[in-house]
Amino acid sequence: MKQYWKSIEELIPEEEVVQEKKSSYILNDGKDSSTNSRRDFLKYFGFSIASAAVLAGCERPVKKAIPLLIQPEEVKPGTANYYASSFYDGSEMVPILVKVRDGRPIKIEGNDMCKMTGGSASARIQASLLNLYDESRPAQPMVDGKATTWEQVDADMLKILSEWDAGKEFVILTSTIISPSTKKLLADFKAKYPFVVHETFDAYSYSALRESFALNYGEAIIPSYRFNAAKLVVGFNADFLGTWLQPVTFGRQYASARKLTEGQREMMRHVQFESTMTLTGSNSDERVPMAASDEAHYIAALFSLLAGKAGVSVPTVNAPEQIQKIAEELWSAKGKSLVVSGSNDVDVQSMVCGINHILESEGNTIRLDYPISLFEGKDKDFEDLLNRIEADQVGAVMLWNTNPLYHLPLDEKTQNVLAKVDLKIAVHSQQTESALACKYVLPAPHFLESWDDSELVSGLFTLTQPAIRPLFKTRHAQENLMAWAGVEGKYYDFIKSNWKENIYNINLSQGKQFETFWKTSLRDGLVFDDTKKNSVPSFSGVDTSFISKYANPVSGNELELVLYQNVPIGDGTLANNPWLQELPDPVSRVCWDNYVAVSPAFAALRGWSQGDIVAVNGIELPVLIQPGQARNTLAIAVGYGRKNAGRVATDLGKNVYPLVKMKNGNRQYFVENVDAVATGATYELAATQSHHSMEGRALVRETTIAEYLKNPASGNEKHEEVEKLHTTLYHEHEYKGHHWGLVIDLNSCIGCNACVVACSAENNVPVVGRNEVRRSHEMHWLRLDRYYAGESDNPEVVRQPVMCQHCDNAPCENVCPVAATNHSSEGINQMAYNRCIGTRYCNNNCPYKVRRFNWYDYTGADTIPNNRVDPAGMTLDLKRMVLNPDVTIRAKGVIEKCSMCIQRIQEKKLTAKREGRMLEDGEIKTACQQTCPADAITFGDVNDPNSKVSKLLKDARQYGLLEELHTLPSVVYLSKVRNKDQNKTLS
Amino acid sequence: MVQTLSKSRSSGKIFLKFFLLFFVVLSTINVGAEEKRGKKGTPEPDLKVGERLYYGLIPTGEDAKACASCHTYYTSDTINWNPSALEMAKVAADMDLATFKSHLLTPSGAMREKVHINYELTDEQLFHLHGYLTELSQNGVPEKKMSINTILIFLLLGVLMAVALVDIFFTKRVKFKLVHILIIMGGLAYQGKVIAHTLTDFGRSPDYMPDQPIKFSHKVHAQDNQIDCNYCHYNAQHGKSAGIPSAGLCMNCHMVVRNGTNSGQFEIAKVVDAYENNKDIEWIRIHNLPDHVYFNHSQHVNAGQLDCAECHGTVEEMHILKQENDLSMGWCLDCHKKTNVNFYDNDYYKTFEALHKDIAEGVLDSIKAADVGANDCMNCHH
Repeated sequence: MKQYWKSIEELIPEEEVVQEKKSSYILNDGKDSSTNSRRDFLKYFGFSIASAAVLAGCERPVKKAIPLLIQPEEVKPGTANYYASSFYDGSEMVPILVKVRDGRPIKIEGNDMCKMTGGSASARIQASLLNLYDESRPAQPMVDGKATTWEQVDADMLKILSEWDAGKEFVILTSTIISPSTKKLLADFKAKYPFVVHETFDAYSYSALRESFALNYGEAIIPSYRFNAAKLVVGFNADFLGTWLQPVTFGRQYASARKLTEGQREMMRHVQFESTMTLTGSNSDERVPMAASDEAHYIAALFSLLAGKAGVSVPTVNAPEQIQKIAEELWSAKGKSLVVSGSNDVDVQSMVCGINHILESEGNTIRLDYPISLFEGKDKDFEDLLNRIEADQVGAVMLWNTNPLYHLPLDEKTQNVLAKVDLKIAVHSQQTESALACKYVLPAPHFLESWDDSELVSGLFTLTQPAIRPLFKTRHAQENLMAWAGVEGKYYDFIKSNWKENIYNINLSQGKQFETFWKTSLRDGLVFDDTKKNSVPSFSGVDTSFISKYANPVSGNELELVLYQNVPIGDGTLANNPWLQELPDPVSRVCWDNYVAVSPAFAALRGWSQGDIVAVNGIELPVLIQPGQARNTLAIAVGYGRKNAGRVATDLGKNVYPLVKMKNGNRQYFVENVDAVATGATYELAATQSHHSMEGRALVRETTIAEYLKNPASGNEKHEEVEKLHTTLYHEHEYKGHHWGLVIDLNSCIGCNACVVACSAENNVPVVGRNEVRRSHEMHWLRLDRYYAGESDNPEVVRQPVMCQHCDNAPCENVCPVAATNHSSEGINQMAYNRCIGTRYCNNNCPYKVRRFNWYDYTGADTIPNNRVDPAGMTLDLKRMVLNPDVTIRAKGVIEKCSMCIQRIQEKKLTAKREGRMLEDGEIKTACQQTCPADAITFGDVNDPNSKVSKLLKDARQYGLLEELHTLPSVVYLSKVRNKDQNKTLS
Repeated sequence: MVQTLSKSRSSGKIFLKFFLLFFVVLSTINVGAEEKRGKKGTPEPDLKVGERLYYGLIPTGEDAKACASCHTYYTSDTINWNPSALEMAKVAADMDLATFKSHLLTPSGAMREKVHINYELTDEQLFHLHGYLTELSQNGVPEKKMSINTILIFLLLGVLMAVALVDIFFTKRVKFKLVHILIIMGGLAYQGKVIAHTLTDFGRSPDYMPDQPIKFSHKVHAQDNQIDCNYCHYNAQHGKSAGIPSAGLCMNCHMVVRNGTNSGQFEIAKVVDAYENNKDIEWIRIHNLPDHVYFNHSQHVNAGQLDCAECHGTVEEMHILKQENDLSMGWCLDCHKKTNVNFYDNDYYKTFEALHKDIAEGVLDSIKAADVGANDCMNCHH
């Protein structure tokens, strides 16, 4: 049995961790009511008795029931409607379904008609719903900080445009536009006003990737990657499961290629070379820490070795041992392998193109005929724009869903450049730093209030439709252009006529008239024209002599800094979102802050411990000791330190975009030769890391593929042992109808955390804020435990989603003095909130620590204002619109926990009853299951021998968490399998 | 508040009678004095005279009923179809004196012709009456006087018991200790009862019967005209909420039906007005469940095939809708224990193989809702 450790404190003996347990209970914002004394308690006690007496004397308030004057046929009070739409925030595009209940969007699900995502969504997509109800969104058009009307704006702009000096440019700067209708509109606008120039600026740059394809294939594309077609994936600093390009799609492909559930005997092998521990690296079968500055050297070595095998002449490079081994593996997996790099250096990406060409990945794991339309921004073009502004050639800049003053490197310089532009217009749906510098602020609607379309890959058209009327006085950015160009109608009309003229064709129509086609497309949210493919560009290659530059490793004793996107916050665009801020990073388990991740060896060298504040090139952030990080590498997440993002994200953490350097015209997200000095101050990070330690028991069981093929139960031997010991004095539950169960395949779970946000949205899970998380008061019903095993400089990582295990022998049920928690006739461990008196006996008696106590009123269920702790505005009426009306809002002083989405079970049971039929297997999906890109969670009826759950329960890998306690959980785990064996190991 | 009104109706009635008697006495004394004009110059309506005219304390003609006898302040037990005082006042306030006079004395419409025929009012009286109505339309009807509150009795008993206690130990005025003991025991018993009742009834409101903005009668619609419940409350079959019909749905019939048997044109005109002028109708919600309770109509009406009356009572006999049951948890659970589910005809229940076996073996003779999990906490509290 491997020794797993959960955080650095567990590995290092206690005395070495300096002052770790500091100031846990000292709070600094004064919002907390822990200053209440016994006297206050007596006061409130007396007050509550008095108020109860008064209340008893009063009558209930009169409630009104106001029906709609004219009820639309499809709107039924209390019944949710789903509208197909699509999510796009400037990075990933995912088709979605929006659940609308009584006029309010309350949940986002993936659109299961999309074959790429299969109905899954990421944490950020799930959470983007809350940005709709963000009270700090710009609410009306403004000129010079004063409110104005749209008519006035239009009059001003028409005047400006008609009197434009043709010698100057009017620049429209956007994030990547994937909408064919918007592209056409921009072209029309440019035709009307020839001085208009459209430029693209992405928050996070992938411009080297496109540039490398331009050099090697003659077309600046980003191809479609097919991880599911690969038998061996080698990643270099590419966090493709977390943030790189299309994490939802890739996560789904990755998990499907590694499943062992349906009789599969083979799984994809994944090796990751990376500088800091990313989500992707933590999932890999083998992982090699590598300095970011050496990435080019490693890839050059790999290229050189593979070229040698393929007989292509490429300068020789001294290869590190791991590269030699992986080159052999790759060569033997030719045609079924994929190498990806997250670098934004053209040389590196060019070599990766060469490697993949040698490995014959084109057409197999890389599809050049389906290039994706994301990330079209080219850093060189943007540099050029800045130069034109310097040269006074630009008269106006319209910033449309792009926030360069936050995302650009060296923001002060850019700010000065942009200050030279006379007329600046901001068209944003959220508060941004850039809007502060703009004369005109023209608010755009949130994507859930908007019409739009997209073409992600050739032939895949999606539509975005509004799920609610605009909450504020906003107008589509496209309608601004239409108004100024004198185009009649709404943007909806424009999309529709564009679809009619340019998209509707014989393949898509399938014999339907346009109106019918339009309506079905709108209903489905997407249409796919499988005949529309791009021609495959042929590989021309580049002059490879530059490789000799990278013949030797360059990393030495100098410190280098990696700037990465973390899974919850990403590039920071959606940062003003309480759900995302409260979501712990899947690797470090820290939320509400960014930090400097430091390798344990380096921390020991400098004598830093967790929470020490260090200044990295002048930016002061607390230290987090990150096992598995390259030795002399520091890593800081981008996306924090927003200056004008709204109530939640402003001044959370520090902004490190200014540290981004330009190299060969592309933004580099790593910095060489940084200096870092401890300031002497300390800071307590809000981490959920050591809060639920299960003290070295066999919680996550794992084996290797070689062992698994010999014996499917390998690694899970304990299960059989424990099974033999099961005896009980207690009467066993009898389930006469359903018996619900949940199976979690640890081999599939990639730890992306989408389930956590999906659960929060579905079940009205409160947001508690940084201080409460520090005190272990976080409320997530579902958490992803992460354990390390082995050496601290390169540990193996396993993770495990843990929610209420719904034990048949539930320890919590026995100790509840008021029977608020008890067992249902369908095997669910129920929690009756209104019965709970808050003794927390159940919480103490739960071996899984999955019960959550409402220490305060977090969502506004309580009437006593002093009970409230609301750091993120979740009790505002606007934000409360996101609450699911089918789930009770829990008040202060009650326990809550996973209910297996009982409201969904009840809903589907009722549908079956109404239709007079049996429930079908798979009809009920829990929120976590529905959004999971990896299909790691399966819910179903254990009593039904044909259900998927019953079949999974026959898998030899199945075991219960802490099954030796005889709690008989209804949640069952399948052990993890690693694709490595003695003959095939890198180290 | 509305609930108190209906609850304390009987005592309120007695109170009202006393109130009226009081007025009669007062008016006979003061009639002469009130005839005087208060001020010179522009005549101002005398609101007191207007009010007395409204209540019929000053005769308005031979065999003429007082305005208040039909146009009451509050809707009472047996429905009063006539427009209420406030509604009347609002109409009158918009009229000039001449129109008011013609509407009052030379009425059109069957009901008004019959009742108003005997009215003989002088122009001056009309002026006062109009003034009173205008004032009423502005200030609204006064809140209905409440009966003596149980809390008062509760406190009074407390004081009495305290006095008894003091007397036992200190003042010792009453010799027979039994009196003290009786007072204290009786007081405690009554207070205990009040506390127990208040606590169990807390949040419950059986017999709740508030005035609605439109005098919609379920009796007229469901019994006299035999409209099925599901016609208006169609959502009860499909969804969680039975749904209050939209004005648009009302207009399916009331596009044509504009003259009610009981209410004439007045009440129906309100629906038409809401529909045509985009005004919400703010119904008072009667059946309220706490927020932590999930109840689904379609579960009971569609899947469970219950009759509406099982929970809502004989709605088709109610002019004014009343909450029939207390909607308490005990009431729900009892019903679940007693009610058979449609175990054989509904294929959903095929899942319950163990229960089918029990039936076959004669262990059970019928399957109640509670047997298939209806009484699991989280089925309703999620």
